[in-house]
Amino acid sequence: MKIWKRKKRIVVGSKEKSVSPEQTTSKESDVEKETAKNPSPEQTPLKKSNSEDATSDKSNSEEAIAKKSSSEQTTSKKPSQKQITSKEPSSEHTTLKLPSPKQATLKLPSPTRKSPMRLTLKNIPLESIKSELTDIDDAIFKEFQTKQGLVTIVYFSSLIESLLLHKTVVTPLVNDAEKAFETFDNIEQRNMQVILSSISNGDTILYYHEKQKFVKAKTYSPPQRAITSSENESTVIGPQDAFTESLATNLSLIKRRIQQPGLKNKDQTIGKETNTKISVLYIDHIVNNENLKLINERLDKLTYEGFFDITILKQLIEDNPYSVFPQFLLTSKPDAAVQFLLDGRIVIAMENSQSVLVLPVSFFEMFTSTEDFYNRWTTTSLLRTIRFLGFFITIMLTPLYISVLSYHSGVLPFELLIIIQESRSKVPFPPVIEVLFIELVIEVLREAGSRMPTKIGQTIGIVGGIVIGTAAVEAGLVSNILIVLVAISALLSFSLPNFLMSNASRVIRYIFILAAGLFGLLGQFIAFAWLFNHLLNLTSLGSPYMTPVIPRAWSDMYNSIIRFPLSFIKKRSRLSRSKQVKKASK
Amino acid sequence: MDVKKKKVLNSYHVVFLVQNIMIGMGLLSLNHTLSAVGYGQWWFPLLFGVVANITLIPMIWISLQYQDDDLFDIHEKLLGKWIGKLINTLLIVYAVIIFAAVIQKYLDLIQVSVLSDRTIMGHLIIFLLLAIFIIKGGIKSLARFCILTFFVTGWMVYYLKWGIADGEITHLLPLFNFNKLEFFDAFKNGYTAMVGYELIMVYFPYIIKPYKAFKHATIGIWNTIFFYISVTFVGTMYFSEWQLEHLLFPVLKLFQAVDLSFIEQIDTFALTIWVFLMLTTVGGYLWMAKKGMDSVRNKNSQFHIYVAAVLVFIVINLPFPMFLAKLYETIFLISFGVILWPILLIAIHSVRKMKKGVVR
Amino acid sequence: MRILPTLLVSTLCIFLSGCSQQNENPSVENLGMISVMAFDYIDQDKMKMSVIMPQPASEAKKHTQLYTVETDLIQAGLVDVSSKSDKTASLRQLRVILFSEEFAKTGKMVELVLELYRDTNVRSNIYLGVVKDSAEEFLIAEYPDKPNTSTYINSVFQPKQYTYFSPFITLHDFIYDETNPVLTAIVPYLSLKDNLIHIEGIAVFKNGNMSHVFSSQKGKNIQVLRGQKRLSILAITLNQDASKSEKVVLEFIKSKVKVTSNHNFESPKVMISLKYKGKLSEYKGEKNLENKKELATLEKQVNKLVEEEIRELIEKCQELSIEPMGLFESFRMHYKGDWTPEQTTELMAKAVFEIEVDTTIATTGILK
Repeated sequence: MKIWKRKKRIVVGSKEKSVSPEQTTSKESDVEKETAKNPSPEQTPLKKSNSEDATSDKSNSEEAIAKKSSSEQTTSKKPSQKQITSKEPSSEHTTLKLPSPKQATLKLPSPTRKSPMRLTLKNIPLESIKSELTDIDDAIFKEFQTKQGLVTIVYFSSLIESLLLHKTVVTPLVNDAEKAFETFDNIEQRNMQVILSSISNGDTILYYHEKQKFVKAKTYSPPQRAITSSENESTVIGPQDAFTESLATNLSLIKRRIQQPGLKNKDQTIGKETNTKISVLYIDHIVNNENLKLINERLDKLTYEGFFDITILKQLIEDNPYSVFPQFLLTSKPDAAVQFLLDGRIVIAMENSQSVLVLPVSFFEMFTSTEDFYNRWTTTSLLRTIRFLGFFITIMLTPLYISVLSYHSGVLPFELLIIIQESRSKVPFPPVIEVLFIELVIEVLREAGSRMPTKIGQTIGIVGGIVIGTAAVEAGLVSNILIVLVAISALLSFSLPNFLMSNASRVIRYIFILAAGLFGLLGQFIAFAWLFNHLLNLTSLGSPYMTPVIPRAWSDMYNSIIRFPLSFIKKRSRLSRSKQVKKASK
Repeated sequence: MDVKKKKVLNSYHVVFLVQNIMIGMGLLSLNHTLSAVGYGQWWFPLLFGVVANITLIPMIWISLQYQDDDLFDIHEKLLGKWIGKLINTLLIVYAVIIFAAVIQKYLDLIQVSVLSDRTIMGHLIIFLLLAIFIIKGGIKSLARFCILTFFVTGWMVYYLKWGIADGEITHLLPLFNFNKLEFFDAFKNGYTAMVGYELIMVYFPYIIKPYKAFKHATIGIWNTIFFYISVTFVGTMYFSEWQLEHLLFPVLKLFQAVDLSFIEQIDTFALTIWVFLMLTTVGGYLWMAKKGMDSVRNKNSQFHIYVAAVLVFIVINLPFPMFLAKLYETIFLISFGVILWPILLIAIHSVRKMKKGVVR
Repeated sequence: MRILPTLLVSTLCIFLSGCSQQNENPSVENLGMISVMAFDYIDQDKMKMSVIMPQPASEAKKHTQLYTVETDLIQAGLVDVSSKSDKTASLRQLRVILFSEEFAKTGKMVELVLELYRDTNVRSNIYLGVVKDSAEEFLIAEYPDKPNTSTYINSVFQPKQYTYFSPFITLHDFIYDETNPVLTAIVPYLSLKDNLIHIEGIAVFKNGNMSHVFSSQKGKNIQVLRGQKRLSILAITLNQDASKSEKVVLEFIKSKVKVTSNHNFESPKVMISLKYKGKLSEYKGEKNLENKKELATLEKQVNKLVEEEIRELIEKCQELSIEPMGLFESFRMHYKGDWTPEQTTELMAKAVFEIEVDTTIATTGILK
């Protein structure tokens, strides 16, 4: 390892003295030869893992020229290989880029990181790029003889659709290489890192041998799925399109709804290893700058390794990561995102993630859906009331069963008492155990149902309905009153439009069940006090979570449990602390 | 965030803090404590409101003279470091004992009527933990909790409707059917229900608009009076004088009159929801004890909350029930002293000011 | 990072203490939920306590369990019941308490009711009743067409349109009446007739002892004078002596009573003004009700009859020196000092009553 380092340094020294770039190239390749001959122990695992994918069994001590020829070989092989790889371009991409853990911890100067710094002053030879892309078998080098001399194009075949490549790069190049050179983006030549990252981002790099210059063409075109309707947030009326996993698509879905230059999207790359693109969207003249500053600070501080979904980002930048409650809103509906943008919120979209993050949000907004604005205000008010009360009923109902049956039998009306006594008379467990048992069964049913393929999923319904519903009661394991209560609370927990909030309600229900088992109604209300205190102390991007209850803003009341007709809602919500509080509402 | 900023309480916070720290166990037994004056009790809360408002004036005045200081700092400034610290220590003891008195009364009642086969130990620990949890967020956390408590518990006034339907409006007369001794007795016992607004001297420096604090505290006090008077009014209608005198918690019997088709014994719910009101009351005193310790030890520390809670726990578990009962009774008399204390402070303040003037 | 240890400790607490068998309360099916209690007099120290509780098990042949014990204290009796029924007897669902007439007359009833009033498990809106002969009989009796004795007795005591004459005194009401110096307590009086419970009238108490039973017709008047706003039917026979007797039935009656007085303790005078407003549902007679004049005479006749009835009731009360109507409240309202029951009795003896009845027949139905 030390030898390797030292030799690099020598190269640097010699390179600075050297005059002709050609010389440097040869020297550089010499170095490569030497390093290849003395492979460091840390490098081997990486290479080994790569060689598994490679078709030819290249030995580590191969010479650079041999490598070049082999890469040319792979180019010719490519079409067949591409079909395999293009299905999962990202996965292969990651396996190639992931360094061995040892390497990461020791902070070895990997060639990709260090070499551009050494080569900042002079042009980068194509050879060095080639050597950087060793063992990436979908990295393709193609040479074209044009009027401008030899042009080599470099790209990752798995990220680029061949038809697009042909149209945008090959055809112009063959027709008029000079014009093509002018139209394509120029690259900051001295920085090898830029070239490499744009290759791995799916751009095509063109190297004009005579000019010794690099240009790049935007050709990133990974396979995408079509825009479908949202499964998690399906609505009856209103637009049906939902976000997909492609950031560009998602941005276009939002931008075609707000057609004005005020809508800004600031791109950023996060994830130390995955280099995931995110985009922070906001409307410049509405958004609160403090919020924007706050979220940018939090994003800048991120050092997380890899992001596969925006939910990971959400957990990392939330105000209180320990809380049960989601403090930012996830939505997969562009109309919802737009609605929040217009209210002065910030929306974060991420590549490979089919929902976007809205912040800040309040507790209450977890119970709203975009459909609320498409429905008549009366219907909406009714539905919102049901959802909001549903949340509290779903966490209080089965605990109430426990506390009434175990401690406060006096609160039951006489007829109800007889019914309950009758249904409980066969049950051998205390109410707490009974409730925990049946709640867990429901949880398991729900979990099993969501994991199963849709076709088999129906079986779960039958099993749940018949086995649990009828057989358990007949066997005397649970009382049928409880089945009714559990079913109601399960249904109510599904009525929440926000999936994460519905999950939260499931979790805290157990706290209430245990509290009720311990201290009856007193325990329930103590748990209730705890819940409220927790909610009151929560913030979403620094704004109180319980808005509009506390701090009250009368204007927010027009759009709370009762949604007033649209003309009443004259102000943007207090929560977003918008620059323009008043909005056009007539 | 909020903990670090000094001025955190806006007008609504002050209103509800004043109100909800006052309402607590006192309301449950208000009809009983006022029973010395018989049916004449129903307008007593009005009198209490006036008295509370008058005694509020010196509190606000002295606090306005030292806008950035709470009661403990004022003591040290006015009375010197050592006497100040001594009095502050006494105030800590006062807060802890009131805390203990209130919580013990409540948990005993819970044990008697709701959870009859449980010792109070379990609830006590959970209750203390929750109080600590609330106070850890600072005074603003308590203030927000107070606002929520108002909405969670305030609707129970509706259930007094049944009491009105069954009651006799004629009981409201005669108005002054008592002698001086009875009046004094009722006033002394009944005014304990008003204790709690003196805490404004402790959280005064946190109020954003100190010059409007008097107005907001007054609104808070009269909110309380509204609840008190509705209870005494309905209680007077619903009960006979004998019942007022002999029922320890008449409000619970009032709730038992409620006749709903799907649920009965509303008093069980009322008593357990009361835990919110208890938490706000107790939270105020816990915070006062914490602030006191901060000032005595010259150190801001969240650790003091735990110390105060442990002290409360110890006091409640002292093995002298007779002594404790006596202590709880006297502590409320002492609280009258605390309410009147600012008058003395004003005297000292003006004396010192005059002396300073002379020196200059 | 204080959250983690707190969470850990609390979870441990819950799992170590909460679910252990020792702490487990008997849940609702293991409690003997007493729904009706009946007390019979044995001697000065002892009483017979009978209770019924619903039998929840659907396999059981009878849906009601009956236990009778002899005891001197309620709680001691409950322990006996518990040991007999092998369920913890609980008073939380107590709905009705019945006392035998003998029991009520010996004055132990007030004491017992106070005892129950003190118990926090007993709600204050359970109904009381005094029973002719043996109270236990009511619980033993088979009610062939009623599925469940508890439900049946409970439903008898629920106020209904046709039983408005009965006062439906709850525990609270009884204590209130008993401790209110201007009133004497009343309790419905029941008897068993043809395997059905029948509300016969109103038992009036004096100094804690039952002293007299009024018929249901008089009971109605007591209710009206006490300020009850809604009444069941008012069936009156006019001109009883004459050959042309008329029968009038008024329904959905709203009554309004106003009692005023001259506040003079020396020569007390009480003005009672009664207003009835009802629908004529049945009429047997010769008057043409379409005619306003004839209707007015009918109203006048009704007025007179009601007035007579009330005067009769008050005279009876004066004779017995009881005051179940609370007519002297207006005296108390302006009296300074403690009001005593003796003052009420004194006033009752001295007072002169002026009664004014005003009946309005709102509609006469759709038949001519």
